[in-house]
Amino acid sequence: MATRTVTVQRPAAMDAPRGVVRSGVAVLKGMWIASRHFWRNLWGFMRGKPTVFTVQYPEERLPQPPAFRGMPVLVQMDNGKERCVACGLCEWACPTDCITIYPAETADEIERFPQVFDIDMSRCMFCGLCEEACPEEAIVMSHNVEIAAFSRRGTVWHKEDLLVPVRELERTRFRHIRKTYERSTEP
Amino acid sequence: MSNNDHLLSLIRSRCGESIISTHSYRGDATVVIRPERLLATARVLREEPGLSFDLLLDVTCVDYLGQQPRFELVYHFYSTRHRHRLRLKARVDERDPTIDSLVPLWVGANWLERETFDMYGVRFRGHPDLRRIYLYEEFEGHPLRKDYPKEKRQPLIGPGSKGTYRPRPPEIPHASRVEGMLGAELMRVQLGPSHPATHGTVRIVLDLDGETIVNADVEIGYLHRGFEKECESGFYYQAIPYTDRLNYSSAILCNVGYCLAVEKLFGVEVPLRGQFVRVIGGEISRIADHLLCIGATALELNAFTPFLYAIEARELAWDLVNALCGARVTSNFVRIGGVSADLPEGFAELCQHNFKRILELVGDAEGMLLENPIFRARMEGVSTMSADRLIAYGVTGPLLRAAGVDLDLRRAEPYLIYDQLDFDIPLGSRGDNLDRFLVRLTELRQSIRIVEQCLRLIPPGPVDIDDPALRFPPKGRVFTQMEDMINQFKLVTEGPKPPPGEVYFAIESANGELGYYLVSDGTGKPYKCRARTPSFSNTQPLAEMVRGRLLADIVPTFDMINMIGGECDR
Amino acid sequence: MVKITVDGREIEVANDTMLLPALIEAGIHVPHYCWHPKLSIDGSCRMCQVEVEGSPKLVIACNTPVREGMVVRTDSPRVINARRGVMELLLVNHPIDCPICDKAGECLLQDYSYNFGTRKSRTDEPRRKLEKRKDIGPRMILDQERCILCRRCVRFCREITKTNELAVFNMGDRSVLDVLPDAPLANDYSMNTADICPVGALETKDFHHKLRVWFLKKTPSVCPSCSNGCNITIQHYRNQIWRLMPRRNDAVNDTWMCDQGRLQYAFAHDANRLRLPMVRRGNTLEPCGWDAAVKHVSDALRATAKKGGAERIALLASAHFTNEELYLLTQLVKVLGLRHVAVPLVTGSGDAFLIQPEKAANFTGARELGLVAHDGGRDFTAILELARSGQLDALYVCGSDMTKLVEPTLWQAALRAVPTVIVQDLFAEPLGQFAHVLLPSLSWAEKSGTFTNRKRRVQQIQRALEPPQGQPSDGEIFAEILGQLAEGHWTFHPAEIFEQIGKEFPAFAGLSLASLGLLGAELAP
Repeated sequence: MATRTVTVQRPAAMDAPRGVVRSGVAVLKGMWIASRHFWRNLWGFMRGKPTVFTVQYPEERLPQPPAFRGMPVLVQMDNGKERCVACGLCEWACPTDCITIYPAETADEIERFPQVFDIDMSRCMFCGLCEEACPEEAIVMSHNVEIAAFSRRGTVWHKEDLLVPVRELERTRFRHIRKTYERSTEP
Repeated sequence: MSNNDHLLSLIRSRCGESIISTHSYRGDATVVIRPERLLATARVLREEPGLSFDLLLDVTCVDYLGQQPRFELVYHFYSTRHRHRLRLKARVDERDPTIDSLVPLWVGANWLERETFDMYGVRFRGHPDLRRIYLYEEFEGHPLRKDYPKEKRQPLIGPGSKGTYRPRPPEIPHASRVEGMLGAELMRVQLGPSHPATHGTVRIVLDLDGETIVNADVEIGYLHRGFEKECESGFYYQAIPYTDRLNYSSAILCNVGYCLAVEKLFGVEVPLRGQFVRVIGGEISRIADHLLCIGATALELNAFTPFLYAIEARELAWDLVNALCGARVTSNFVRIGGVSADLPEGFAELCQHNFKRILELVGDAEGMLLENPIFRARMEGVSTMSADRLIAYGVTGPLLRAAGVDLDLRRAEPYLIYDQLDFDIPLGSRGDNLDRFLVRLTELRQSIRIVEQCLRLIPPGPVDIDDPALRFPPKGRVFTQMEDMINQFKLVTEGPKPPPGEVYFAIESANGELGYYLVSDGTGKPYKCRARTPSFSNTQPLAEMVRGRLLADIVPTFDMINMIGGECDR
Repeated sequence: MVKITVDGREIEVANDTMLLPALIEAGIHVPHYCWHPKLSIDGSCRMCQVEVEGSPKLVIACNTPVREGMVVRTDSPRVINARRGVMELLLVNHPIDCPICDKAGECLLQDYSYNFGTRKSRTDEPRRKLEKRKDIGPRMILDQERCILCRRCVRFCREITKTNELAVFNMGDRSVLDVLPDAPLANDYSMNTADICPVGALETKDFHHKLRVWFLKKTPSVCPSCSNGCNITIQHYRNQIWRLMPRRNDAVNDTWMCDQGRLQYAFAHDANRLRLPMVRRGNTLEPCGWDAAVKHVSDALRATAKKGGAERIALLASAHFTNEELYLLTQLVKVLGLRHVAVPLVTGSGDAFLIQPEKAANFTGARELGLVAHDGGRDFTAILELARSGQLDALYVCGSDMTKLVEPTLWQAALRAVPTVIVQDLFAEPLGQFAHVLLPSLSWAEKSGTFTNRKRRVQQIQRALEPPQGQPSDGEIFAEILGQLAEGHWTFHPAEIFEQIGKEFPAFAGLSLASLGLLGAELAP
């Protein structure tokens, strides 16, 4: 076993009179640390390379990593239709039951489609289990997290709102999930 | 396991007349006893030198609706001396669900038994204060009973609602009346539930004599959301996002613990690389948790600048979590049989970069705090509690280690790949708030060390078990192969089905022992999913720690206990 | 009885059976596709292979007779391997249709692949292309790609309906299930082929692309559409029935039910159902509270009885009520001293198999409880005649299917001539316009109780759909009315009332809901 126990070193007691001196030093040291941060940030600001951590949202946005899970969206194929065939796995896998699907039949080659596909974004917790359960790569997590609405009803997203063109997703989410869902069991 | 055989035979020889049966499923030593012999058996367990079970980790109940007797009380014990575990079970009947209270032996049984009473309606004979703990007094029924429907709605209690709201005088139970120093009446003060320093939402009812706390009653449950009921109504894999919400500042650790418990139920182990990834994710979580604790403590002791440094550092840790699993807080990272994704590209470099900055920031925060006379005065020697007393309360984690007890499950019962790693376990010497603070600071640095080692040692290979009974098959095969399409369908619609049995598995989370007790009936849904959370047990001694101290001492003490509402209230 | 040893366990089985049914009877699960308890043995799927000591090769359990001292292994490596082989071959050409297949979730191919198959594929070859979504009849569609050629449906059409629509064409690996061009699968029992299809090859048009089966909740019940009393399972979700499926009861319907009965459920969750009681004010019916409506009814009945005597009140009850509801009606008849009571029976066509001409579930029950004096129809026309000639002051009509028995002008004229008409029905049409009080009734899917089928077998129905909050069941309405009119405490609990029936009617003696179980029991002769 390579672990060992160590007893933490307590700083020396602050007894007077040495403690008074050390207190004064400590205050000065605190000011030194704070001003170092201040000068660093000012220098960064002057050079146009800000080092401050704050982001001026919504004007400024942080880049999100490829793994990022925002709201789930539906893949829209080039013919304008959804890839989803309303198999219902996501609806069943969803821990919060926020997905509602009503399947229907079409005359297309793929005979089944969701005539209703609603996601209640006020219940959705962005866990991504729908994406994992999907056997058609039809529902994926997007980078969008701006889902505020003015009413409860407005938090329910319908199929038309959820569709995102496949080309857009090919560049973003697909690359990530294809890699993770494949590599995960590579020998 | 031979260890368990030895333990069980020792117990059989000492309290044979109380025992109905013993078994050792998946390495968990279990003793089933007659309910009327609980107190006597527990006393032997505690006092017999070969057993010395000094830590009562958990008390819970399983409702076997339709069986006689119906309620099974389940106790989990640990011995800090012998480092062995025991599960004790006793069944009580539905008509008179009463059993002896263990409060006379372990003061920490108090809250645990109150919770069991609240959730299952089991009564504890001799309990000093058997009230509901999470739910309000007017709540009807006991929600974790199997015949309590999950969808059932009860009126919210509050003025203006149609519920039977009675303004309740904040009674402190068994408050010892003392003659105030000033000769005046004691003053009743409510700290919280919405007080800036009670993050996590907790109410502390205080009786003050001047500024001195005479009595305190900690009231929790404001964030109770029925974690166990939720888990029992979904498939095993559906509970993982809910474990995120236990300790939301170190969610991955909660994921890891849960999945390891389910894997123990299955009797499987994930591939080595998957174990490394889990350790990496978990330790980054621990870093974030400790940073928040350190920052919040500074903030609430009026040191705003170190708080900003700590939060900036935590943000950097969360960036790593985000890169790993796509979310900063609600990680949902670990899966039964693996993890949701392998390490992303360039993760080692990102870690290196962020760790460097985190260490700088932690150094700055530390430099501002440790010599600062105000900080020192409010931390040093405050709310000291002896190791024995903490153990009696069931406290684990940094709090217990600050009192000098060498109990870290990563070392005591190495799980995953912790036995291959090189790291220090910091211990305190006095057990006051300053020790607790220093232990967390050191642990944080050790966690960085662990992650760096893992990134160096991580072997190539799969991160997941390739077994469709547990883990979804790879997507490419699902699209093209009938077998895998079927596997995907069956696993999603029926869930992974572990064999019937019960396990308890604990990991060292940021605040102490996080254990999951799972009971499987062979279906895809857990029959019982219990989380033994450190925050719950750690919060209990707060009242005793601050008794006799000044009102202002509550704040650093509460911070050092680091109660996480989601974990405490479940 | 003979003794055989299965996986080291000795069991006793009947001596004239095949091995597979004997094993299933003993609770030992052996996977199988083509074998069906109510069809002849085909032996085509090879899934039920087991190892029998003394036999050099594996044998198919469905076509191996049991014999004394047989030693069988169902879990030996050879058996497991053989099953894997069968599964692999079945899946080689199976289309990857689970996401669009209605069977997914209750598909034996899925179950056996997951539990007994290889779980991993070894082939990448393109799959066989055949006709999909083929319209083979008014109620059925066929997907040839999904068919595994177990020929259950072929045998069903040959042996049960004797109509022979389905057949396997071509030979060898070109075999394909189909119907002849001019012979659609249109018999009265065609939808049973979807039930027995182990995969999603045969699907009903009614349930096609409607709902995932795993959402369905299942409540055992009895089909109400004729007096045969076929045992069914009501499959419902979101308080709506999605399909009815036959439930095995060898004394009544084996494992089958007719298409007509299967498709009649939609009325139960129809949005136009009557849900609030109404009372006539002038020319319109206005909704009112339940208490007020019940009081209105009981006041009218009481006043009429006082004024003109029970001679001037008539009761027309539906043969769709449960025994328990009908029992309360007998009490009402007793309390008021009614003489004009009828349970009109609608008849239609029947056949020699399951479909009966009596188109009501509980006509026999009404007769057993003494509500039907002689033949059903005659009293009904007599009462209509009484009404038309002004000899009735109040008429209590429960159910509207009886209007099909006579010309509309006849019953309309009769209802118009009665000063107080109380109607209790599912819909406002067709009787609502003549009603002075209109009480909503509950469908069979929304209530619990018992039906007595034509062979005097009492069978339970259970509540599947939840009626809107506050809407009482028919039995509760009767109990309320009785509470207003008679002494004593009247409540409606099906189990208690059924017990009471057992005390009063010798035929029901000794029965209880618990003893009926899911399969029911025959009345004493």
